[in-house]
Amino acid sequence: MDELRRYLAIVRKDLRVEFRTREILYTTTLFALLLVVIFAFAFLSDPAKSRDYGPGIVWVTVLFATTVGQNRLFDRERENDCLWALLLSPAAPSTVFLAKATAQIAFALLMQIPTILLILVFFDLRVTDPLAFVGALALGNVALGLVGTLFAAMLMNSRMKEVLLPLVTYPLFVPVVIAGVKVTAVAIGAPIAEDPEVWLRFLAGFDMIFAVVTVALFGRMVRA
Amino acid sequence: MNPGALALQCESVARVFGRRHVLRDVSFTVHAGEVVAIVGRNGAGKSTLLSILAGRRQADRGSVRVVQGDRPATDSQTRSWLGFLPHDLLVYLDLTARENLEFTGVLHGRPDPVQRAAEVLSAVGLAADADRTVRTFSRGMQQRTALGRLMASGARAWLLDEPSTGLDESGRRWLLQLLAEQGREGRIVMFSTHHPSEVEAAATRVLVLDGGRLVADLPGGAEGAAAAFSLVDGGRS
Repeated sequence: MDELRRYLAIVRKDLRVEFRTREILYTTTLFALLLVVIFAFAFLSDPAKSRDYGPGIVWVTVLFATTVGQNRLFDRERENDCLWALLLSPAAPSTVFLAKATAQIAFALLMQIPTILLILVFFDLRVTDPLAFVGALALGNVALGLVGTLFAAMLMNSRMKEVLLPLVTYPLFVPVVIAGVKVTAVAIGAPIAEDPEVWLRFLAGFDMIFAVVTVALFGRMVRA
Repeated sequence: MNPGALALQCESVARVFGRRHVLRDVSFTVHAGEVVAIVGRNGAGKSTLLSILAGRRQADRGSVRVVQGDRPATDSQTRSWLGFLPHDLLVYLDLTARENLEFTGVLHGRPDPVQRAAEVLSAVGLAADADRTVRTFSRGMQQRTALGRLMASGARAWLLDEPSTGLDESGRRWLLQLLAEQGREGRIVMFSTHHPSEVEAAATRVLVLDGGRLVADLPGGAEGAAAAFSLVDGGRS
């Protein structure tokens, strides 16, 4: 029960600080919208093909903008060395990690609502299978959040963290993006022969494996 | 000895940064109710020792143990019982003083963190500024918030690295009274300082570090302070 209270307190603290400063939400949302506009200029010359490249645009935008947010996630903990206020408290490292990952996923999802709506409007895409579409985004964001939070914490004090974080995480994110693109393609009615359920199961499996691995590694990796 | 009393045992602790030996074979035990000042020149190893005791850094050799009676504390108990105030204050600048203390109370499993935060804010003299974000505070007020964080945590052993930094004269007097009072209440208090007057006013014991070695373990008070700082100044010449 105490761990649940601690988990909720850390999530609430992160949300409170973010809604007060709006650093992560503003920067990531503006960055994502800018990416969509750039993609629109690059691809709108051939609107007939929007269903072909639409899923890719969705996931590249989600990936890039989420990484920008992850780079900022631990800045507040670095200021005044606050991560150690958490790690030296009786809270279990797994509680700290899951709370930080939850906050990160919440920020990413909030950023993605206007971004994805803009993509759907700009590229004239229609979601024919909303459940698969939302399911892929939800499961994909959990995967990005777990892995990204772990490495963002590890690289918190690195001077090159803006460069290093994508270098370290993107190879791990490749399967997530592939699965996300496949499900999104089916969800917007692209003419491909894929079973979205298989890819959704793949994403759920990825989430479960990385939930166990990242929770187990967090305490050791941030103390190293 | 009280069977429930806490003790902090530091045994042959050594730490090396690169090729520099910051701590060499440091051993001592501190018991509940002791207020221990750690003195030494800049670079003597005071901050490193405190951060190793708090669990913020690992010792390269030796061990630190928290024991209650003769039973070693679990990891979770150790984290719950030790409170650390380093130079970086461990308070969130974008939260208010009240939010910081309530958050600390929840993290440390206090039964009524809201009530406790209100009491502590009054005790540290920040009741009127409780709902301002810490970023808008002066360094002295931030230091008071950080001290409040220790009080709100309910820690049984306080480890403080130069806790009077940023405090004005009345703040310093208040701090020294607070530390002495914590000792009388049965807490372990360890703090590093460069001021003989602070040792004299609050400490019941003084540890002198020189070049990473513990060179003296003296009683507190005026005589102990004078002897400790003559050793520190002797090392400087």
